[in-house]
Parts: sequence; C-alpha cells; structure tokens
Amino acid sequence: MNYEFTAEQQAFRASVRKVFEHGASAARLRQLWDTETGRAADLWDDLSTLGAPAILVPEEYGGLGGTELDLCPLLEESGWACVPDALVEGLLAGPALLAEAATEEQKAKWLPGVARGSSRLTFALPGTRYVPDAHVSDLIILGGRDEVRVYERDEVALAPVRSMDPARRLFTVTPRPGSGARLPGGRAALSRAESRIHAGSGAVLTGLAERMLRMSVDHVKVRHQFGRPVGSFQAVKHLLAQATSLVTLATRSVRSASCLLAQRAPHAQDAALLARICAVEAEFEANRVSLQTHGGIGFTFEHDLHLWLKRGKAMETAYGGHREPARRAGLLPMSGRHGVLTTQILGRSSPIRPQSRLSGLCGNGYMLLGVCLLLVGLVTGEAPA
Amino acid sequence: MELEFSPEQREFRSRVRAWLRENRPTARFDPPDTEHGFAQHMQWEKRLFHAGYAAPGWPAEVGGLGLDLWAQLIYEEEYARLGLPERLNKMGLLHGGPTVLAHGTEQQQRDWLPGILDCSEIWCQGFSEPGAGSDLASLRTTGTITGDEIILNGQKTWTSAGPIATKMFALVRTDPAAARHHGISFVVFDLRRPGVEVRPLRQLHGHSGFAEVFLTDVRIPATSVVGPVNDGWRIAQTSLRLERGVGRGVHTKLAQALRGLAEAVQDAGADTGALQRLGSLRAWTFAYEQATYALTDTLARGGADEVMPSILKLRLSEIQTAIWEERLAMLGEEAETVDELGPGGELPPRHREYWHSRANEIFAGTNEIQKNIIGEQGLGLPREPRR
Repeated sequence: MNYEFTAEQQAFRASVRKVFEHGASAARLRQLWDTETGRAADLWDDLSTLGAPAILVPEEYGGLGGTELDLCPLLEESGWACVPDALVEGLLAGPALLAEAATEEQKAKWLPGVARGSSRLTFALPGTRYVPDAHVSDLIILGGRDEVRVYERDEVALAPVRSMDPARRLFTVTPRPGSGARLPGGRAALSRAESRIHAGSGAVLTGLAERMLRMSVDHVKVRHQFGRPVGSFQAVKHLLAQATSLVTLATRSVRSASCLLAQRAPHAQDAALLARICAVEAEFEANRVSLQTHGGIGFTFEHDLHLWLKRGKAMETAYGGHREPARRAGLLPMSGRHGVLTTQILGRSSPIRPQSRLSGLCGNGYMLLGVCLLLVGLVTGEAPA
Repeated sequence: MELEFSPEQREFRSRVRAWLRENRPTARFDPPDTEHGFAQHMQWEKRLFHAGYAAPGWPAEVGGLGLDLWAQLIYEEEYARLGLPERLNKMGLLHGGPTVLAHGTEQQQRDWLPGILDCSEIWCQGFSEPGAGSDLASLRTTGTITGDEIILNGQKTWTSAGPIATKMFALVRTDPAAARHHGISFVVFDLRRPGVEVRPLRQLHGHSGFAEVFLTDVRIPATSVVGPVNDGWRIAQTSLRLERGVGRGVHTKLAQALRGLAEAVQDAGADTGALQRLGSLRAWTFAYEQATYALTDTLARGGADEVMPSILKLRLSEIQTAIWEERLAMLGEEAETVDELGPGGELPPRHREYWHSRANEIFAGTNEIQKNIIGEQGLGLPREPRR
C-alpha cells in the first residue's frame, strides 16, 4: 500500500504550478475573456514542453506511456489556478480514447502530433450537447449512441454557446455529412472514457474547491468585525471546517480512483463514479461557504472569487452533473460480503500491474523541461526539479 | 500511489479470517453488564487472549503480536466484517494501555498491561465531569498529594464500561494553583478502593454500560501517576488522539450499514430519490475508507497528521447518522415500531444503531470541538476567546 505520489509526480506538480502561476494568473485570466479564442497559446506551449499532452499517449507514438494517476496532479493544479482550457478532454480522455480505440494507422497519423502538443484534442461523451474548446482543437472526438467518430476541424461547423463562466468556451458541433473517421474500438472504450472524465473532472473540482477555501481562510483571518477577525467566530470557522472535511475526503477519493484506473483494477470505474460524486458535493459546499464567508466583497465583479465560483458551478453541472451519477451509484451491486469496494479490489489474488513507464522517462523529461523554461526565462528562482 | 496489499498482508488476512470464523461465537451476546453477558464476553476474550489476538498491535514483549499498522487494520476489518462482539476491555486496549505503553514506567507496564490483555482488570476512562465536557481542562476532581499517597475527591461521568470496570485512568487536578492545563495529572487506580461509588447510567437507547463515578477521599499510591506529576494534560493527548484515530474497522461497519440500506432501498422499490441518496452515501463511504487508508499509510511511514483524525471523526459520525436516518425513513410508519426489547430493555438493532450514530456526534469530542480543531489547527484560523 502506498498513498503518496512519487517524487517524479510531485516534481511534475511543482513544474505545473509554476507554469500556471506565470501563465494563468487571475489578471491574465481576466484579460483572456476578451480575446478571440479566450486561450493563451503560450500556456499550451508550456504544458506541451512539460510533456503534459504526451502523458496518456503510448511510447510507440511519441508519448510517455503514463497513466491517469500521473495526470492527476496537473488536473488538481488546473482547478487551483482556474485554468479554463478543456484539459480533462484534451490531456486525459481524448488521448487515452485514441490510444485504446483507434486503428494502428489512425494512431500513427494523430498521436505523435497529440503527444507533441501540435495537435489539440477535445472530446464529448454521448448525450453531451456542448463541446468545450472545439475552436482551438485540431481533432474533435464525438461519442455517439452507436459509434465514436473523430473529426478534423474543417469537417465540422461550430456555433458558440455562451457560458455563465466568461472563460469557458462551449460550442455545438455539426459535422459535415459523411465526414469524420470512425474509431473501430470506440463504443467499447466509451465507458472507460467516461470514467476518466469522472476522475479527471473530480480532480479539477477538488482543486477549485481547495483554492476557494484558501481564499476564504485568508480573507476571514484579516477581515475584522466586532473588534475581532471574523474567522475567530465559530459561525464562520465551522463553515470552513465542514467544507474542508468534505474536500479532504473527496480529494482522497479522486486520487484513489485515478490510481485504480491506472492499475486497471476491477471496480476502478465504480470508484471513478463515486469519486465524481464526492468531488461535486465537496466543491458545492466549498463554493457555497466561500462566498458566504467572503460576504459582500465576494459578490463583486472586481474580486477574483467569482472566477472560481462560476467555474465550480460549470464543472458541477457538466459531464452529467451529480444526480444521474448518484442514481447510478445507488444501483451498483453491493457485491461481496459487506460491500467494501476497495476490499474487494485489494483482496483479489492476482494483481494486475499498471503499465506505466512514465516514471523512468519523466525524470529526464522534467530535467529537459527545466532547462527549456530557464532558457526562455519563464522561471525565476529555483529550477523545476 | 499503489493500492495493493502485499502477498504477506493477503496471507495474514486469510489466516485471521480463518481463525475468527473457526472460533467466533455463534449467538449474539447479552450486554456485558449483565451476569450472563459478562460471562459470554469473558469466554470470548479468553479465547482471543490464548490465541494471541487480544491486542495485535501491542509489542510482543508485553503480550501483543507486534503487528504493524496495516496488519492491525486488516485484523480490525476482518473482526468487524464478521460482526464480532465489541471488545470488553476496549478502553484499556485502545486508550489506557497504549498511554501506559507510551508514557508509563517499566514497573507500571508490568503491573497493569497483563491484566488488560486477559481481562482480569477491566479499564474505564475518567476524563469527563459534570462541569467539564467540551471544556475538559476545567475539570475539578482533585488529587491531593500527601507523602506517598494521593487523595482523590470529585466526580467523573459518561464513563463507558463504568459498571463492569475495576480500574480507571483519570485526569485529576494535583496543583489547584496552576493554570488550567497545568496542574493536571494522569492517574490509574483501582475502583474497588474505599470511597469509590459507581452508579450505572442508562443511555437513551436502553443500553446501560455507562456510569457516573463518585470519588470521596479515595487514597491511592503516588506511584499511580503516569508520566510526570502535573503533566497529565499532555499525557492525555495520546489517549484522545487514539480515540479519534485510525478507524478500528469502522469503515467496514459503515459499509455494512450501507449494505443494509441498499437492501431496504431495493425492498421499497428503489425510487430515484432513494437511489441518489444511497449513491451519495456510498460515495462518502468509499471516500472515508480511502482517507482512513491514507492516514494509515502516513502513520505507518512514521509521519504525523494532527488534524486528519478530527476530519475522520466528524465525517464518520455524519455519514453514519445519514445512513441510519435514511434507513429509518425508508421504513415509513414501521420505523418507530418495536417488536421486542432486548435484555435490560434495550432497543432493537436498527434503533440502537441509529441512536448510537447520534451519540457518535457527541462523544470523543463533539463535532463542534472537531470543527474548532480543523479550523484552528488545520486552517490556522484565530482561536476562540478562551479563559
């Protein structure tokens, strides 16, 4: 048993945080609202330099052959920083689906570009009407009732749909008749794609929630009323403590689900569903509590809190929301003697090992990256590990 | 991260499971404060003791198995899984004994620990007082040191296992002039001494097992103090942390309660709202279990986490209460009905478990106290105004 991220994964998180701090500050995020694409090309370039788009791409196609767990720190950090890009689709669900469901020929055509970051991806589960970031994607993967098809950008017509979150870019996607390429293994791979969306969006949600709580804690420490910091009042303190307890457990469930997906463990998909539910409920509470403890200042457009509040609400309701996943979780069979999910998983006799070779490769990748970042002057102070 | 028990751990699980299955009692025991129930529990405890399973986590030198934290967790999971009887000497095994192990002298360990293991002495905890609950440091029971004796006067209450206990570990004020947290000592003494009066308290779900303990000029030897005199507050933190600690198989019990709820939801026709609530509770049970495992991993590596036990205790009591509330709600008007009361007038399991979950929001530090700990120690928020 081991519940710690590896040194490589921790170093990766530190590098990602630096990239986001530099390229996705709140001021920068506000500037991006009014740009044509709403996306920062340099941020994507930095992520590509980090090797992020390559993580879920197999080595034979120029990727790092990593896992859902390797990407988990990045997704948490993207929530923490409120990065608007569709990273759950573009870094996790999309590449993994191509790797699982495309023909050798298709993979050879698409995946090297995906791994380099020169070809961006987005993805939508069946039944999803709005596709995020389709306008900056070179490949758009649409899950349908009977099949999964991949479209290049000029094969579809995009119509923008405004989100309450000024940073989110949503589109309805209408493919030209007869266009696109079918993924032969697409239908069979869809449920795993959904599990990656569950775990990945869960990681974004817990990252968002952690940041909202941090902003709130910082605020109530300095805001004085009745001659005392308002954070000393139980009425305020207990709201934040309660939300913290939910977020702490939700973070654990998301990381475990990501790890179980990476291990190809039986019931890993159930774990991902459960993790999504916890993450939504925890973020819901953090969202509510953080505005409440900020008071009036939190309700202004000038204050940055609403960037996180709106993203949180959007991520709660996207991807099937909460209620349908909760209903499905209620229907899961209570198999086993007492229904402990992980005891069933962990109690099995022949372990299936994860297929990760990321750790070996990434150490070097990160070192290279560190050098690159230093060269382009992005990083001041300590070098990335 | 790697979520996988080792082959040795899996082998240990099978061995424990086989032994418990082979040796477990077949009937449900009466409460331990009835004569028959006590005899039943004692017989089971002796069987555990002779097999070496009385205190798997204690060091081998003092009669335990010296198991690491993961093996202890496996043992507790298997114990809970079979729904085996609550341990008779829980307070000694989980709190008193480990505190003596951590802070007691060799002589104290030799004198006291064997009795906990074979249940020749049943221990109880004397922390709470009528005027000192959440504000434990305001306790007023005194221990007056005179030469080689300490004379105890005061009252302890909400004492679990009080009616059957023969020894108490308690916090008493040995220096009345010192400030609140100072001047308190941690003592262990025999409840059969003159001046001790134990009055059983019946709990709202019919269980007794609770008591208030009156101490009037109780003379105990000065060697009863664990750790330095007047340093009892620090010593007690060991016990309090253990009480809120790493589970003891409670995640398994939570999953069992959930299974019962799932069956009730099925029986009632599985409407959408009920399934959603069940699904949500299942998600939190999974999260609770994983947080328990993660804390076990931290502690097994020699790390520390002062706040996680409070987070776990808070969430456990909330999830548990929600499961049992939902269970009762599923039953409609049948929920309030009782076919037959148990020994001593106790309520049947579904009511007992429900009310017990409510108690869990109060004991071992109320949930409000846990939120203070999370807010102040975890988030660094300014402290409550305190004396």
